[in-house]
Amino acid sequence: MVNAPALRLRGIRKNYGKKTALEGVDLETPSDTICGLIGPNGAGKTTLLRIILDIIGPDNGTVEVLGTTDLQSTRRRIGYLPEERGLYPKMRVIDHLVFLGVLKGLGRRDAMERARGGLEEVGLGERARDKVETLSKGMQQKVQLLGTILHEPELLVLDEPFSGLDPLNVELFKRLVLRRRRAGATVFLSTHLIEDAERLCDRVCMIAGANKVLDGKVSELKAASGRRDLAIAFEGSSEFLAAPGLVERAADQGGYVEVRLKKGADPQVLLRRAVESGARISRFELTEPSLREIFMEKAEAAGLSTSDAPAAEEVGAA
Amino acid sequence: MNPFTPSVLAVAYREFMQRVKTKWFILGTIGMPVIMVGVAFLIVFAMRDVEDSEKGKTIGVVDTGGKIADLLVEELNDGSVTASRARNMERLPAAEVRERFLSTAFDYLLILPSGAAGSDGLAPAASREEAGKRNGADAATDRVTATLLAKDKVPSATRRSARDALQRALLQTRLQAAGVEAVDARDLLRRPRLNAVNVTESGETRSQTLQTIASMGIVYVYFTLLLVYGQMVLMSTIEDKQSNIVEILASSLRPWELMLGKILGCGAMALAQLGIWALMAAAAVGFLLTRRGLASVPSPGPALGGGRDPISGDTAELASIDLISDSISWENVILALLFFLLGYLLYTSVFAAAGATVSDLQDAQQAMTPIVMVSMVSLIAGPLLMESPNNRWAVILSIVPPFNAVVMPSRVFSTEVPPWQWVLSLVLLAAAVAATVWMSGRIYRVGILMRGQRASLPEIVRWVRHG
Repeated sequence: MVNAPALRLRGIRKNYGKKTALEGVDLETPSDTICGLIGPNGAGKTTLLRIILDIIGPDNGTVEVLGTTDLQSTRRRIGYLPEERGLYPKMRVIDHLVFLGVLKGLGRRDAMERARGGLEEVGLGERARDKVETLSKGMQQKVQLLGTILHEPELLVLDEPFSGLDPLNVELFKRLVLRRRRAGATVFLSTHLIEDAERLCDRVCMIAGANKVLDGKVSELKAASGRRDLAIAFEGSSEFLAAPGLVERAADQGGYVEVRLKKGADPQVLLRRAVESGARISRFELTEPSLREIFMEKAEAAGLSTSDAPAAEEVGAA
Repeated sequence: MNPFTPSVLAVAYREFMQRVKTKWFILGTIGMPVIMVGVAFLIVFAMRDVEDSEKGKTIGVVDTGGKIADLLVEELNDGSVTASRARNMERLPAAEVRERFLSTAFDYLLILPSGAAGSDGLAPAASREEAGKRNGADAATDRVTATLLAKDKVPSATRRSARDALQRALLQTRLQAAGVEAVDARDLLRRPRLNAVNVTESGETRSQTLQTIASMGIVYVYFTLLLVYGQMVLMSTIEDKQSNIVEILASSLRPWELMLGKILGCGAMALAQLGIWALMAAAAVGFLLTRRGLASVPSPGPALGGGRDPISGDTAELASIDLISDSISWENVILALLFFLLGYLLYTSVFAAAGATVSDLQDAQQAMTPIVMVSMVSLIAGPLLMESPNNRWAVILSIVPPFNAVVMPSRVFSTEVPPWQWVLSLVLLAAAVAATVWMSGRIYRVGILMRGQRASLPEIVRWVRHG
């Protein structure tokens, strides 16, 4: 099972009435990775997650999760944190966690022990017998995450896991998610915050307008996008930037400039020109593009408006 | 396929525990019988209090004819009031009597029409009729109309005892006028008991009174339970939607498992509640029986022999206890329970589906209305039809779902239902349960993930067709 991909989706299509939420999405996520699903609001992220979780069925296409298409059997091996968090307010914290654990196939006693351990770890040991509704929002979020990972799932599906969290809980969530990852689990999380994906994920998949527009390892995506960004520190005239056919745009800050080269342009040519122009170069560095830049580029290429998400939302409203 | 998957049991267990552990369950389960017994006692005490307050009251008899006043006073004095003749009023016109009444010491004044005893007791009908018209007797029915003046509201018991006393006095007067002496009017007027007993082909005898109680009782009890627990399932579904937990549940189990779990959990709670009530009732009956048994030990009267002495009320009671064991057959009880279980599944699954189509309580009320209306048919028609349980409509309603869940068990207690009818009814009900659970499951599957607006009927139809 090491080599079987955690997720393999083929031609997933889903319509809600006349609206197209997903238009033939293929996706393959190797196991043992953290994959970020990014895209503007309404791009179909939640729909895709729900299909993976067998909450709804696709109109077309095949879904293979953890090496099988029998999604019924995989439910117990998946932990799901929905975007809309919710717990039974009247239940005791410990009873609630045991209930969620039992639903995932744990024995009652086993679930009880794990729940106690988990609550101790996140500092809620004292509150185990209190009702959920007496807990603060932050505490409820912790309980919710514990409920998601109590049964040590092989696949964690997290829908906007960090939205609405306070900074301390963000750190706690990351710690617990990374621990599952180290234990060999695959993490598939959706986020509209690209920076989150960039920091946490080793793969990203981007959907926009009901289509997948990007998919792959973060490092490879960056490499593939070409190293076209330069940071140059210099003394002297900046007229070398005006060389035709080389520079797409440059932000000249007098002595320091961030440059984007035109496609296919060789940075060496620019360096030579700079030296020839008499400027003294103290730094000439190729920088990695941020995921956001790649995202913008792809979105532009896909014909989507990049400046405002709502425009994208209209196209692919779910 | 085994419907009792671990997930179903987990949901049912949670539902049961959450409901049983609340203060409301404890209060409701213990409190309900206590309140009912308390109300019964309150009514008894209040009535006794009314009787007590009537005891010292005085009643004056104004008999312008003067023929029955003395007998009437005697009969009235047998009761709880003190009666005497108000002779000084007998010659006054009615309007003045009313005026003067307020200044007298009497609490009540019973005014008889002059011809109340008949003009001469035995007048021919034709002339009595004429006299009656003049003297306040209702000519057409030959009924005497007397007037009871009161300073305060007249308790119905007082009115009744005054009327009964008047009836006895009239009877005695007329009989005496006809030459019959020394008659105990009270005994003469006692209503006989009539015990209707069905004798069926199987040779079984059943008391009709008991049949009526059992078949009416079933209609009311079933109706109440189906609605109460159906609503509980509906509320529980909405609670899942409102607390946003439904998406986690949907990712962990199949929607039908969630629905079935809720139905079972609420059903288990219903059984727990009914069980506690049955125990309490059994304990109460046991307590009463032992007390009565102890009391009757010193004087085991001849009535205990269980003869058919028509006068002894005790014997009649004993006889009716015999009739209970006669006419409530275990087959019928089991059949009734079977119908209840299927009916419970039918109604709760519809309620569950209704709950899945809405997101808040206001919409829930609307979604529930059609279900309640349909079940009202059984509630209203059931007891009416049971007057003649083999009437065409009674037969139809006892066979066609969803009415049969309530009407058929009611019918088996009130008549001997041909086997083909209850078998057909049971088969149809089971088929209806299967179809409804399937349909509700499909509505549930889509509905629980819906938010906001209530789903429209065409939408629901689409869910059922396409899942």
